[in-house]
Amino acid sequence: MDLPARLRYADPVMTMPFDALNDVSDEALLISFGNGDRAAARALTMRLTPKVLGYSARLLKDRAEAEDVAQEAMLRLWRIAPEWRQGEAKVTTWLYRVVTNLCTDRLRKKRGKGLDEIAEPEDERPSQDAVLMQRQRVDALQAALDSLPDRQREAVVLRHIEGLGNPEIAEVLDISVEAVESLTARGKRALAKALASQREILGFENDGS
Amino acid sequence: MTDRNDKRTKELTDSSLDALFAEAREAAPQPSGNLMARVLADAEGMIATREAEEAARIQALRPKQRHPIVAAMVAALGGWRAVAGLATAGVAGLAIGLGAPMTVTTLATGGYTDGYADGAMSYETTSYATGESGYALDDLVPSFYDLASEG
Repeated sequence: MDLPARLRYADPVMTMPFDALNDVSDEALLISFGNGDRAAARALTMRLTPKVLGYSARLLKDRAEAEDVAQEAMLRLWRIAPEWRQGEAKVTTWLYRVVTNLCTDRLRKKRGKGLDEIAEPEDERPSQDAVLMQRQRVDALQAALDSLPDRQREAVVLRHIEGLGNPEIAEVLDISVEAVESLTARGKRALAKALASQREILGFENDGS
Repeated sequence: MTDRNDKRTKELTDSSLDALFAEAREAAPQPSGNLMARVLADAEGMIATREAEEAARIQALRPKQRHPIVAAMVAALGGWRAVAGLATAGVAGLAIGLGAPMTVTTLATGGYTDGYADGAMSYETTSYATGESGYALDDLVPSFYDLASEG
């Protein structure tokens, strides 16, 4: 498949010094997109899609499904752009919220079909390779995250992986800050327990001190 | 199962969990080029749709096409400017007829035919001064005597 020329230079998304609009806030870009600015559309796509996908991929096991959710969330952003009210919410907060809801819907539907149908992540072949080791550790974390209740998983991912503050998480999940604190604390404890049996894989066996 | 383990091995320490989170952050899943293209296509499609809607709205605001017969008449008279001139002249004629009937009547009745016979083109410049024409200067000026007498 040949990518459009405008995307070809954007493949390494995280290293993107290419964009003259880097200093412009998400909100300003969204408003100029609402006024029909194609450059703003491109800048927003580059900036927000990785975040949206990163989050949805942590909540859903299926990569293709995570991409669908990311596209859907961005589509909702494009739709709301002309009516975006300035200063009311952060664009990323709004997006995290949409992604959370979309993922919750999908997980709920899946659960209706039965837990057993959800594919377990495949085991990585054991390897001395450091990169693969890291991959294994990240996969183990993901598996442990998947075992958490939805709310705890969302809160832990937002807090510790996406790096959001508690008040913003409260806004995303539509709960109180205290509830966020309790969710992240419980989630973290559950994670630590779930990962305890995999200390060897994780390479933390000497980590008692 | 955790009950059988001693406290030290029961849970991962906070620091190792934090290290794990940091690793996960670094290994964040990257969107494929395909996803980026889809998202951008959605955005540009949205812009195109909105532009098309805007164009349709402006088109709808434009005046509708005239009836062909009316259009043909306007064209035969020389376009809308000519029609506007004609309409102005018509309204002016009506106003004069309603507003100053005495003057119009004086000019229109045949009491001045002798002056007319002399030379219709010259009475304005010369005839009234010499008194040869049937028209006096005040015959050509609207009279306000009627208004004065009535009011």
